[in-house]
Amino acid sequence: MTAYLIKRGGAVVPTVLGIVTVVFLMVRLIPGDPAAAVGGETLSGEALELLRERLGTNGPLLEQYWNYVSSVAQFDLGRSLHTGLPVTTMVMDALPVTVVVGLSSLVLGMIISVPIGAFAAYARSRGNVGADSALTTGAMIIDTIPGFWLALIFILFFSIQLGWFPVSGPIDWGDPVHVVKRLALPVSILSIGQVASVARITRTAVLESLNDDYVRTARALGTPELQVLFRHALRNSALPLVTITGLSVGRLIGGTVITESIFSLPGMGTVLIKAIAGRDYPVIQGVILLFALMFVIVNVLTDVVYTRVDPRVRLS
Amino acid sequence: MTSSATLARPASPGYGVEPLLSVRDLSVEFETKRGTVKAVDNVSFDLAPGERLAIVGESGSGKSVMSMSLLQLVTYPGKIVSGSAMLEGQDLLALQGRELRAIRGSKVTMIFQDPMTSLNPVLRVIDQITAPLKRHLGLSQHAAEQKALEALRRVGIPDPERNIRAFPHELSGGMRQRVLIAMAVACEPRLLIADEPTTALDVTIQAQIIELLKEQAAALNSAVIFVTHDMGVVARFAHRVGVMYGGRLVEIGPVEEIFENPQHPYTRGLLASIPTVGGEMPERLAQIDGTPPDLARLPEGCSFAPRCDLVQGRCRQVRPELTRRGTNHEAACLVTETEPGGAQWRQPNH
Repeated sequence: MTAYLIKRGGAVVPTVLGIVTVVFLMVRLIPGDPAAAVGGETLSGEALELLRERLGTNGPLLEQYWNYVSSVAQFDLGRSLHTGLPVTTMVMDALPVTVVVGLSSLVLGMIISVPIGAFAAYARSRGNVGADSALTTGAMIIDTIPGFWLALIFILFFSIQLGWFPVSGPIDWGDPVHVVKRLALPVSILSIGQVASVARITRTAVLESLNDDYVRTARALGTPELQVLFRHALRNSALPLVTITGLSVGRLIGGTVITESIFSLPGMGTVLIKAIAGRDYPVIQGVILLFALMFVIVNVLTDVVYTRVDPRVRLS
Repeated sequence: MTSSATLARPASPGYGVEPLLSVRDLSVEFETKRGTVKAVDNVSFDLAPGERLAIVGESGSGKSVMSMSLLQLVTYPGKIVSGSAMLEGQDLLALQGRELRAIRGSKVTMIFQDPMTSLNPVLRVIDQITAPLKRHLGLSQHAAEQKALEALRRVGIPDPERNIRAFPHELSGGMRQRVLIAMAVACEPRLLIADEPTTALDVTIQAQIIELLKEQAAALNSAVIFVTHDMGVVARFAHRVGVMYGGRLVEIGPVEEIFENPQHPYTRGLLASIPTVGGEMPERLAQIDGTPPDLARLPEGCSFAPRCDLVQGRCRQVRPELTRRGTNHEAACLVTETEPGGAQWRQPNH
C-alpha cells in the first residue's frame, strides 16, 4: 500500500504541474495587459508597473512561469489585490467550511440515493416494474431541478416562512446545534443534486449483482431478503458506486460555489465569487488551484477505496 | 464406467419406505416475449430418506429449474404454477417468508453448478459459512466458527484455520466447491440438492467431488437429488435415475434397470451416446438426431416424437403418461408400453 501510494503520488506530479501551468496561463491569456484589465484604464504608468509586479506579469514569460511555479511550490500564492492578505491564508480560512459542507452533502446524498437505487433494482428483479419506474423517474425529476432555484425555494419556505434555519450570519463552530442548523439547507441542496446519478448507478449495478450466482447461494442458505440485497448484492456493486462518488466530487465543487454564495457561507466558493467580481486574479488562481488539487486527491483516494471494498482489486 | 453389466450397487433404501420427499404435479413456467415457456411440466416423484436420485437430461430439459423450484429459487420471470413437494409434513412449494428461510440451508440445502461464481467474492469464507450456522442453529460466533472449521475439515480443505479466512478468489475451483459442500452439509440437511456440481470442474476433481458428496450424504443419511447430464456420474453416484425431456419426467427407475433395460427411446439414445471404456471405439459415437424441443411451442403428442426412431402415428396426437415397467420403474412411451419388440433393448455398441 505504501509503495503504491508513493508510486501513485509520483504519477500525480505531472498532473499537478499541468494544473499549475493552466492556472498560470489563465491570467496571461487575457487579451491585452492583465494589469490594465484589473486596474482600469485610468491607471498611470508607474502604478500600472507596480500592479504588474504584484501580479507577476512583468518580465519575459518563461521567467514569470519560473517565478510562479517556485512560489506555488513554497505554498506562496501571492496576495489579494484588495485586502492585501496572503491568498494562502484566505484559502485556508475558507477551506474547512467548504470541506465540511461538501463531505456532509456527499454522505447525505449517498444515504438517500443508495437505498433508492437498491430498492428500485430489487423491485425490478422481482418483476415489479411499476415500483422501479416510480423510483427511477422520481430520482430523475429531482435531478432536473436546478440547485440555485431549489435553494431559493428552500430559503423561502424553511427559513422565512417556518423560520427553522438561519440563512446568513457567521458560523459558530463551538455550537454543534447551530452548525447543523446553519448548514442544513446548503448541505441538503448539494446532496439532492447527486441523488439521481448515484441512484441510477446503484440500480444498474445492484440489478446486475442480484442475478449473480452467489445471490442464489445466499438465498438457498436461508438469508433474509434485506441481507441478500444489502450484504450480498449491494456490497458487490460498490466499485461503480465508489467511481461515481469520486466523480460527483467534481460536480460538488461546482455546486458549492453557487450554494455557498446563496447561503453566504464563508467558504471557498464565496471567496471565488468575490474575487471574480473584483478581478482579484491572485485569489482566483489560488482557489482554482486548490479545487483542482482536491479533485486529484479524491481520485487517488478513490483508487485506495477500491481495494477496501473489493478484495480482488490489487493496486500496482 | 458405462458398461451396465459391471454395475454392482446397493439397492435403493427407498422401496416400501415412507418417502422423505413427495413431489406431485410440479409445473414451472416462464413468461417470455415469445409466450409461456413450460420449463417443468407436471413432474411427480418420491424420494426415500438417504436415497440418491440422479436427474438427467440435456440442456433445457428443465432439470435445473425443477431442482431449484423445490427451494423456490426460481426467480422472475419464472414461476411455480402448480404442484406440491411434501417434506416431513411441510409443502416446500407453499412455504413463505420466515418459514421458507428456516428450511433453506437447514433441512434442505443446495449446491450449484459453478463454484467460481457461487461464493460471494467480497466476503471471506468464514463469514459465508458461519452465517447459516448462526441463523439456523442459533450458534454464537465462536461456536459457529468451530462447527465451520469442522465442516471444512470433513470436506478435505487443507489447513482450514488459514483457509477459512481466505477470500473466494484465493481458492481453486475444487476448493471452492468443497467450501460450498461444507456450507451445504454444515447444518445436516435431510435433503441435499446438487445442480450439476461437477460440470465446471476438471475431470480429475470431478471424481473427488462426487465421492465427497456421496460420503457426506451417507454420513448424514441425507437424501440427494443430483442433477447432471453425465451418465458416467449417474452410474457412480445414484440409486435411482430420473430422465427429463422437454420439461417432463419421461422415465424413472433404479439405476441398474435404467442402464440395462431402458424403456424410453430417449433414455436409450442417451445411453447409446456414451463411449465405452475398453470396448472397441465406434467410428462415431451414436447421437440423437434433431434438437431439443422448443418449450414455448411443445408438440401436441409426445415431445420426443420428432426425434424418435420408434415413432408411430398416435405418438403425435396422444401425450404419453408414466406407466409401470418393473419394480419402481416407470416410463412414458406409448410404443414401448405396448409392443413387446419395442420393450427389449440392447445397447447397440455392445
